Amino acid sequence: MNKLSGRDVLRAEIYALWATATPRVLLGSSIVMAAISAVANLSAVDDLADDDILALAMHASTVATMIFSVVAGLVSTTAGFRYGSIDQRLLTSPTRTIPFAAKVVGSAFTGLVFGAVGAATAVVVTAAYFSANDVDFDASSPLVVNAVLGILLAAPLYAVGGSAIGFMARSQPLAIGGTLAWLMVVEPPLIIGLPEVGKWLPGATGVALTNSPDPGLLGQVSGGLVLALFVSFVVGLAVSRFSVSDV
Amino acid sequence: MSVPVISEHAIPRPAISVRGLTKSFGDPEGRAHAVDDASFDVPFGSITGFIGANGSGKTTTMRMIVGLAIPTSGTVIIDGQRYRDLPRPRARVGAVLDELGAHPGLTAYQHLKVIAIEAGVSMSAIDRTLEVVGLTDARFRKVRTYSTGMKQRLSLAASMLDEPNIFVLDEPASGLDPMGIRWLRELLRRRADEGAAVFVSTHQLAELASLVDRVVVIDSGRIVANESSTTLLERTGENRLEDAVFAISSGVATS
Repeated sequence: MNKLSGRDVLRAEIYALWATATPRVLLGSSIVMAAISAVANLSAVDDLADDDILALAMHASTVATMIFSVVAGLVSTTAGFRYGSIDQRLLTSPTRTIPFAAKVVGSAFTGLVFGAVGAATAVVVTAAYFSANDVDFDASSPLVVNAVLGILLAAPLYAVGGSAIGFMARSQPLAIGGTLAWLMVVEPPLIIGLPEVGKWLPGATGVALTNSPDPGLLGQVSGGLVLALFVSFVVGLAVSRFSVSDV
Repeated sequence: MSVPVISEHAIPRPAISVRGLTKSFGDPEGRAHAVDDASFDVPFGSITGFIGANGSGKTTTMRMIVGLAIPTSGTVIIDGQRYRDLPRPRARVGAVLDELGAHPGLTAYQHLKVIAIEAGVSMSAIDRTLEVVGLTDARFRKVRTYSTGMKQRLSLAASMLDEPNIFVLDEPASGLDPMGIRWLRELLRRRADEGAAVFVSTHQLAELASLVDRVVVIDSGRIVANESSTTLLERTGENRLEDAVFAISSGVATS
């Protein structure tokens, strides 16, 4: 009798996730929000030739993408506890680390899709807006390339972090509400009021990774490394708890 | 009351062997036992009823058997191995648990396809199993549109997908109409007659009383009977299994 294949477990995870409407709805919402954010930032300024404006437009889109990526990760895991489908996964693969790893890798894949689509949306919308205003848009400028690379890394990291938080919180409203409250309510005043502390937090490091023009944040590489450390810590904590707890 | 923990007859190669299984909650000084030192065997080729009131520890025991709940102490051996050590668990054990375990946004076919991909089962098994449980016509409907009875049939389909010969079924008759209960009885009887081990819990014994060959009765987390239905009737002096179980659970009967 053949043993289970890790590849099949991962295939099942990705199939299960994308067979439901939720990630597609989130992806569609992410595209709309990324486009609206870019246009809102661009339309608020007069001089489109300024590099900072380009950076701001890219940045606005990438932040929207990160928020939807973390929600996709959270939903992916908490839906398993909400509907009991995690039971079915563990009946097939009883070694807890295997479905856990599949969920995390599946979330990383989902985040990558969100990141790619978010980056494409940011570039297309910004290019179209520049073109409509007779301003040159250089898609190969370091500013754009760094922002695109940043979101391609940040979105999977956020999705993985969301998935891991979901394993610990289990309750979908608690996980989504708590994470969004942290990113959108708790962190922003800390970043403004206590920048020396705030710039090290998960939201700020994620923004730094997307090549934010904000000089108060960490650099792109430093921000990415700190965010990766945060995510590794949360994943480690989640797997250690999930391995020894009842489902 | 003296409890016959192990069967009065030797059982060759039990399908499920539970020994000293305990699940406790709370701190060490104020511990509550959901399951307290449970020991019993489930043999192949028969239907073993796991009977107890709501909250008596049936579901916790069944979840420990398939590794979803972690025992405080004790062991569960399934056909010679722990559940998590089985190379392909679904090919050995089919489980129906207290929840359907399907995302409501998936169709029945998609739900079974997820399991089939993960377990390495052929896609043709999905259609075959859906036919067995009578859901072929509804296979492309979303699970959220299913009635309780249909969800229960889908649970049974998931348990049978990889053709196991050991079944752990937690309240499988719950939500089924009288026709469905009759269908379930026939299905379980057929599987047992083919050599499978069926371990089925219920708190409404009338649904399955005529079906079970053996009974394991649990009361407040403790096993209070573990024997053939016939032996239990003789021991309690009752004519009906429901009365015998009631007598055992309320401490009226002694061995």
